[in-house]
Amino acid sequence: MLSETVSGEIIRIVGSENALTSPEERFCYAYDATDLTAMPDLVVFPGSAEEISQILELANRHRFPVVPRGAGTGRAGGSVPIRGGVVLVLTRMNRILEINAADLVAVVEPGVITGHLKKAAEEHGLYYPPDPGSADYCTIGGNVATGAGGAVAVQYGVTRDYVLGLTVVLPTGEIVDCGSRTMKGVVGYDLTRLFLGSEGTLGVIVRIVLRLVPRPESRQTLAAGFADLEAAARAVGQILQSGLTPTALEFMDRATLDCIRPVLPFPVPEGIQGLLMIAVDGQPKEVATRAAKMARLCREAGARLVLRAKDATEADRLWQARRAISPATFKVKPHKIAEDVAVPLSALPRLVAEVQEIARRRALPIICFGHAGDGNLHVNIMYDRTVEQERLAARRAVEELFTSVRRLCGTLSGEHGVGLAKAPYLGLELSPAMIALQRRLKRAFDPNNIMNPGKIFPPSPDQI
Amino acid sequence: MAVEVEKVLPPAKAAVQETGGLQDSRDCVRCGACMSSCPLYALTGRETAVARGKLQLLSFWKEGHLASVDRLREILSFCLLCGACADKCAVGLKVPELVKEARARIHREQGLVWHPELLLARLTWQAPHLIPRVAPLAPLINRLKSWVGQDSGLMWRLFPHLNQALAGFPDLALRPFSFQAPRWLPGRGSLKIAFFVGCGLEALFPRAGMAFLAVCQRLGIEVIIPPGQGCCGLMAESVGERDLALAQTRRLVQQFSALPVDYVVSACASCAFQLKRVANLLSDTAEEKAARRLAAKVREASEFLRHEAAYHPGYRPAAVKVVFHDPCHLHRGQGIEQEPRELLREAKGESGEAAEKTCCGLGGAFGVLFPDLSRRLGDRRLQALRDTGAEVVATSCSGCLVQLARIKSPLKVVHFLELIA
Repeated sequence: MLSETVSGEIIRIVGSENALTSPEERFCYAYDATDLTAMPDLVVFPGSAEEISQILELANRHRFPVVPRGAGTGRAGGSVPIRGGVVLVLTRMNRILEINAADLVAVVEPGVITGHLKKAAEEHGLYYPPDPGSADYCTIGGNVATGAGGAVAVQYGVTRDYVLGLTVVLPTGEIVDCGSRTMKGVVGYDLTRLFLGSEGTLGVIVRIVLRLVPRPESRQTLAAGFADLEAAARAVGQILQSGLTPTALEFMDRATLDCIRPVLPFPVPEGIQGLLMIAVDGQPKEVATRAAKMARLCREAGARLVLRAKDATEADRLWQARRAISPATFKVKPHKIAEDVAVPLSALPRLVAEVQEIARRRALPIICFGHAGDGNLHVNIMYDRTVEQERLAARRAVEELFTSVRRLCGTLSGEHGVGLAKAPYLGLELSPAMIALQRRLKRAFDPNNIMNPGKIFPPSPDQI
Repeated sequence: MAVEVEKVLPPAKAAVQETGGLQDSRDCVRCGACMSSCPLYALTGRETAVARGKLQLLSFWKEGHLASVDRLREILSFCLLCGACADKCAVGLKVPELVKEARARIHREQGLVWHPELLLARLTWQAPHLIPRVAPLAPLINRLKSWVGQDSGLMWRLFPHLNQALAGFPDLALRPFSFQAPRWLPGRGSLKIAFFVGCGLEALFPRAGMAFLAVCQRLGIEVIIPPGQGCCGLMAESVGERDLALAQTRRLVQQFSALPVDYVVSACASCAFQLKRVANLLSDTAEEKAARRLAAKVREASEFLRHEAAYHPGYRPAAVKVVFHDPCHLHRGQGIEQEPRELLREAKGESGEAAEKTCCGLGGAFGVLFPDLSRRLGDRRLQALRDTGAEVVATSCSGCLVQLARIKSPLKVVHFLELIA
């Protein structure tokens, strides 16, 4: 618990109009998009790196946790203040400092809404590709801190592939720059990559240099429905090996389709067990040829229905429907464990089959959808927390899923991060020596463990 | 092969769906999508402004974690009830209904405590008596009002809140609608309607009501204008004065449900919205059946003119460009967007189109409780409307008319009926 004097000192740093103290207001910063909740002692909206630095110095002196937060849309509990302390909301630092078409670079503060950056880049004829489902309301700082992905990763990669440099306030208060604003740069350790996906445990990101690319001239969107789920998963592999370079290659199973049927811009016949959504970017003519070839490929792979969006509005509605999936899954059951595992491309059909098997064995609905083009599958295990039997079954299902994923040489999280939700399972993927090394790294950055404690690492007695 | 896009059907226009109580607030899945459309979140960046924060807090309160409801009440009053969040809600929560329900619950729990919005609700209850009585004093009141609402000077320093609320507020009509209008307009055909006036048209915008009657007269529609009409009850329900809202609703049902008419028409989008909901308010009461009968007959003016009266205004080219501002209670509340546009297009030619259908910022009592923010939202809205190149803004809700007219702007603000009569 924060003492009143320390609280007062922090409030003095940011100004009382940028601090929230009432339980009602603090509670509104106790959660993210998971169902995890923990009450912070104080919520502040710093306006500069200097203010953050001062707060972190105080945190070291008085040993209180500091938890950075963007828009609170994370899916792993990364910004939930599990040990109380101060939540550092970065939404006030939301300026786009620079969009430089000559350098193909954008410089932004962490509180910029990802969608706003995408729009601003577009106005300069440029493109910032990463597109997490929450792009319209999540912040770029959160994207960097979690290493957020999205649908177009197949062609363009993820947030990680666009961050050239960062300014970070270290847990000990120093403000440092890492990386550069050039495409290449190998001076010193690549700490930019280290901060990427560090989930606020190594410092507070206050300035981000991003790489932009020229805006693709046109994009076409296809949808292909399969009567056989595994045929759909196999078609993914065939498309990827065809050399037709899809921009996005999304997969949805039958349960997913049932959830979003009302918002899909076209009717999906009952017999369809799996749907692929494919985007192709490029020159208008060449895109049309590639899209046509892809449509043929899908039909040959057994697609019963192949549709092509006829204009941008229609394509947009398809992608809107795709983005609506995750929240819409709650129609099935009140709670879910949302995993975002990723496996090597060739293992995808196996994974889909094994998930179906787990769902059957545990008698729980499991909704599968995701970025099949990069092997990243969203596996939503639906259950009712108030039913003891379902809760246990859900936990077993998660363990079985992770075991399958590891056997297939995959990773436990493709883009959500570890946060609180996956911390207990870290050991399934990382060796004891690796976890020990990462703990040493954390200690080197943050000797007093003030930055977002309790995240990533499995709960253990020494807590760091 | 091209995808056939099914048109997403707007919600049933005659009936407005209601959700079943506060339990729904627990259905919020915290995705945060409401942050992308909430005008108050855009302005403040605070989670307490947005639906997710409010709904989480409601659950927190219901689980017994709050010692007092005072702050919660303030947080809940910080909502325009515009419904922009519900547009984005992945699980389809009807957030404005939940906020109203919560306000009523808190009000019941807290008992009689002084709040400015409650005074406003009480005033609406007295409207049928108050407006005719005050009318002779209108010139005096208007002068007093413009003195209090002056840009600078003593009043601003003494009562900044009142000053902000009143500055630019439309003048009280020297002759309220009921002083000008007949109680009965004979018809030539078979169509027979009752006209619900509403406080705004009665006291501030009688010209819109007269314009509507002129159209009806031309079309030979028989109109009954029952005397002594009250308020639709929206204000009382919105601020959480549930009992008052129920009393107002009962009075409406008594007055209108048994009338031998085909339709009950209101020229105010918000009144029409509320009248369509009378059965929801009176569900499980003795009056429910009568309320349902009334609700089924209610039409908003543009909806009525277009669909029931098949009205086509003659083309009178306007020297100025017109843009339509969508009241939240019209396009979100009743799914009506095209009707007023079609009427305006036929009468005045192509009109401008604002990029987004955002709230004017009045939000019922919000404009009184948070006059400064309300004005900033109004400024933004007017700017967006101005960016279309229009010189005249037409709309169909008394609240929007008050808000858009009280903010200084080169745009002329009128009720759309005045342009199509």
